[in-house]
Amino acid sequence: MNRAEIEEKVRAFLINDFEIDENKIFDDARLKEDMRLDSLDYVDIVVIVEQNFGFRIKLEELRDVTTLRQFCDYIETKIATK
Amino acid sequence: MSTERKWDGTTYGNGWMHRSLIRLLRYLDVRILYLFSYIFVIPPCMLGPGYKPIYRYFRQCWHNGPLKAFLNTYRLHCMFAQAVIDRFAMYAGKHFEVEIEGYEHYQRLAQRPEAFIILSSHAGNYEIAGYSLTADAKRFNAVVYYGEKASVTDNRNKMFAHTNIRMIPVRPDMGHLFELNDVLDKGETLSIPADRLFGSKKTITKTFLGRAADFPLGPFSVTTMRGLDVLAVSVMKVKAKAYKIYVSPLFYDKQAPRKEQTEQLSTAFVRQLERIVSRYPHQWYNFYDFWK
Repeated sequence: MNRAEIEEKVRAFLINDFEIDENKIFDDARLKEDMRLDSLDYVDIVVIVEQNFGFRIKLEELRDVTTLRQFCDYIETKIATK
Repeated sequence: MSTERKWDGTTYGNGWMHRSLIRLLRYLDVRILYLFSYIFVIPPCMLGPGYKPIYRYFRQCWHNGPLKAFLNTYRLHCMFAQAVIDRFAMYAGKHFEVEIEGYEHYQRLAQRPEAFIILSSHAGNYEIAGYSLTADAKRFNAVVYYGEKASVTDNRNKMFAHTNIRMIPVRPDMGHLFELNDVLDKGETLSIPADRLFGSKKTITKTFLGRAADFPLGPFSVTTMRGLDVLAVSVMKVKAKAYKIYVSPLFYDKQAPRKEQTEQLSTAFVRQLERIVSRYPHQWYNFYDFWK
């Protein structure tokens, strides 16, 4: 799966599952402040990522992930090391 | 949803008061303290910020006239004082008679390997008997408010130290996320209050007692995302030293689109809460403007 496909899937679940306005989804958008993802959303993200990308997020690894770009980087790295 | 409508949810009083109350309750019958509170504690409490929202609750939800609403507001505060005293009595080692309606629903889910969710509310006194719904094979985890006073959390921790009950405070740093996720992965029981916003600002608007009110979206969303089974549990005071626990399964179509599932589950929860509050209108303990 290449970077563009990862970004497309992430964009799709942010819109469909979290009802985030498309205009708020851009590379440097902050997950909490701009997209208003909150604590329980992160519990959901674990399941969604597993369904879409086939691996299990360790939430503690997301501590330093604050923007959409960093989130996609994280997924890309995890897929590459699978 | 404005943050002004949130209530901080801490127990009234400071640590010294709480410790003194626990010491007193080791020797005194709870009914003596009930009486004391009716005369000396409730009247000043009714001057506080909790008076108006409850008065409006009786006026607008139950269509009480001004005098009846005032008297019912006093009565509700008395019931709340009893609930708080009972909680401290429990910390002091006192026991209450508990009857459970629908226990078979709980047992059925507790025996299965999958995690399940208990949706609680601030109607009744969940803490006093809700935790009697435990099972040896499954750990019971309760999401609780982080900002609660140390005297309350310390006593909770002491009480539950040798049980399979664990408190998960919703922390501002989101440290609780790892615990929530872990609990669900391990197939344990997770209890979440589904009537009050904390840890999340996302809401779902439902008609509750005839008027629009915001409920937290999170508990319903986490449940439907994983397709978990759900119980609604309410613990209502029925006599001075007796409580009744109502356990009701809540259903939603797990094959429906997820948004629809969340809608169905939240509606089922609100309808069940309506049934409970209609039966026990003086045990509604959300002391802020709950309705829009």
